[in-house]
Amino acid sequence: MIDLLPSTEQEQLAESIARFLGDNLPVERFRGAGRKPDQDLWPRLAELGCFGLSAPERFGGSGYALTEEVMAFREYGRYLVTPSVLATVLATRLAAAAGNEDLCARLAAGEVRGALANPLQGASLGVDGRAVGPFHLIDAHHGDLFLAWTEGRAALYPVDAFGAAEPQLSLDRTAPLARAQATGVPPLIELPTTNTRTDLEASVLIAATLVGMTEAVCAMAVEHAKTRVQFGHPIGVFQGVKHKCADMAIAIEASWSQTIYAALTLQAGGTDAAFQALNAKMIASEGAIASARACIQVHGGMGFTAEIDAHLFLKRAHLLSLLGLDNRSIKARLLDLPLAS
Amino acid sequence: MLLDSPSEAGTLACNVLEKSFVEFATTPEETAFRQEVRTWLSANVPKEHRPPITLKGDEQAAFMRAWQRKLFEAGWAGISWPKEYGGRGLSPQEQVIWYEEYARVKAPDASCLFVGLNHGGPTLIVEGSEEQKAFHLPKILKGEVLWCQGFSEPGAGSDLANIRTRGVVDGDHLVVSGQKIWTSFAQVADYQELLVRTEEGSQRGRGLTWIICDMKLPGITVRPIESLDHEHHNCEVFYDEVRIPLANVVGELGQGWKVAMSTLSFERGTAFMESQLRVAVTLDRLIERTRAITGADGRPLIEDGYYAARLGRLRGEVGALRAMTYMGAARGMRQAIPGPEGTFLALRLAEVKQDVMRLAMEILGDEGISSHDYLWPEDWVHQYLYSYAATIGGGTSEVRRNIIAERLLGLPRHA
Repeated sequence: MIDLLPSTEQEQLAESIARFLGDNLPVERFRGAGRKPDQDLWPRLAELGCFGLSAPERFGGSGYALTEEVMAFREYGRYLVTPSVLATVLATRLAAAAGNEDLCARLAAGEVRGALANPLQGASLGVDGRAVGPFHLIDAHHGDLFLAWTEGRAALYPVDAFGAAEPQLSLDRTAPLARAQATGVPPLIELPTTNTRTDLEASVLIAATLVGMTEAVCAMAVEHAKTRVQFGHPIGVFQGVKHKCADMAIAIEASWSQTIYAALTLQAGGTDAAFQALNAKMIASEGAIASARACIQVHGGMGFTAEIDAHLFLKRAHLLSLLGLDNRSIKARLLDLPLAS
Repeated sequence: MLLDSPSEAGTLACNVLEKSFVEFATTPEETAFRQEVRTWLSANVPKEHRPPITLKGDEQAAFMRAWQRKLFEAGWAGISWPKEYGGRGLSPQEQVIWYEEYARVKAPDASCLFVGLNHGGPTLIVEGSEEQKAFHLPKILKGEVLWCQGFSEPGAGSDLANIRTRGVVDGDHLVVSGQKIWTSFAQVADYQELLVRTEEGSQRGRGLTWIICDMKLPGITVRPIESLDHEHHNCEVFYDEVRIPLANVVGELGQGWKVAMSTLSFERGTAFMESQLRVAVTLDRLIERTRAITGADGRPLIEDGYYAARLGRLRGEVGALRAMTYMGAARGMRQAIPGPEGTFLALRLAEVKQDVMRLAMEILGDEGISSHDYLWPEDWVHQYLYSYAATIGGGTSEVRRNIIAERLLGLPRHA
């Protein structure tokens, strides 16, 4: 029998990460000019154990599992932490799977950082892991290694694996995109996803991030509905507002249940791991975008301003929904992927 | 009260689980249990379709009584009832396995057995006197009697506490006059769990009494209502000075709201498993159907990206219902009294069920509006029509959203 609720220890782990993020990376950091990049906090995030949570202890990790990482990523979502945490965690996992003890330990220790390279139309990881075609580099900083995956393959690339990066006018300005062509430089590590399951791990961790984001917009909307008074009442008494908030809570319940279930299935090597992991991402990204939209609506005129954080969550949700398989592709896969009996 | 899905049953079992995020460790005992259930069900599930619930309803009632008798004799009656009351007393794990196997073979859902097994019986177990339990519980388990629920009234639907049907104490009887509505299976029921106002001038939940009403008593008139699927799922029940012995009061006079709420909160996560699996089975059949249908362009309809994406998405939605069921079960094992979180699954299940049936109608096309025997329970069109009850019975989706917003998110109650 499966149990989808966390233990006290798992809850404490998430709380300690949330406390650190609340103190050091509050969402208000995106307001105004002069923001320091999240990457400045890398040594402290490493000290907290963020990058090697699931890496083996002999490789410098904490020896936890995907479920604990899912708990952590929900918190990263709540604080809109840079997607480079995802890149670094996936890279650590990939290095561990490849038996590359040195690289795994350095990633876990925060000495080396990962950034995401998301293949665009026409791109692939080649036949030997040498990337070809155009990629989006996400919030990449000087010296970052690049983590990329497709359905068939996952790879970690050196800095020179991508050519001149052209900055894009990114929808999500909190995680800027650059477009770059792969140079064909061989990867540091590459493995088929049948071994690493990087594609599915990414799907689950992205889903967890989206759940945290949905929780954040739900909390914002509920707070506003309780305090904003019109017609002599807090607007939360009106069902048109109340039911939007209820729908956000339903989205959280569905996406969190599915995400935890997917993490456990993947961890246990279940035959339906692909279905569960991809479904988690679809359910969580649809829930996050719908909830951010409702949050903007509940805030009325203020919701349309850049002063209310709802738009930041909306834009990040769009970005995350496009990493790996998009929802259109996921729906096509879900039709045929096997379910456990 | 119109029942949502008759199989969204409750359970009284409550085990405290100490470990968390338990992995998929299937014990040899669970595997053996699943095999036992599967073997018995495959040999015993009725081959013929269940008759519809008609004006008289007697054919379906006889069918369900016989099925329950069979379950009882094989030791499967009241799977979530404690053993001391004749139930099977299954653990939550075993209940999940039971419901999974039960749904897989499309065994009959609880229909007219639902109230006795999942509302009336469990209420007696918690609140009833020893005499009431000894008399009623074995009859319910054996399928000898059918129960119905007498809560909703014309003026007390979503606003259930607005009950007006009154009961006046006269000697050792309660004399009941008034009207109930949406009573499922009143046309075949032997007993009713009846909620009446016994303190004149009392308001809301105060002054109500929960009493066992024998449906054969003089002064009771039952009028079945034709549903939009042409079955007769619900009835109006009229009471004209009906004399019910005071010995039938469950709990105490005037304490009926507390008794009623204890019943309504019996819903436990594991029991949704069957209902969720029924939706999954239906969707898989729809996908098979779509593979077999040829589209206007001569290709199988499933190759049309429009339908493929919708079916794939629904497969994901139904999959998430399964995860939500496990989440509900995990909470159920930790809470002594189930919290309002059960509303998440009840609401989503109802809406996804409607989405599946709505898509089925689109896929059937012209076939969906012709040549259908609506009363055949396997019929797509019948299931489509019946799905409209899902978001109304047992609490409308609107009331459920209010519960989520007010009780879980702490939003203020209505103006």
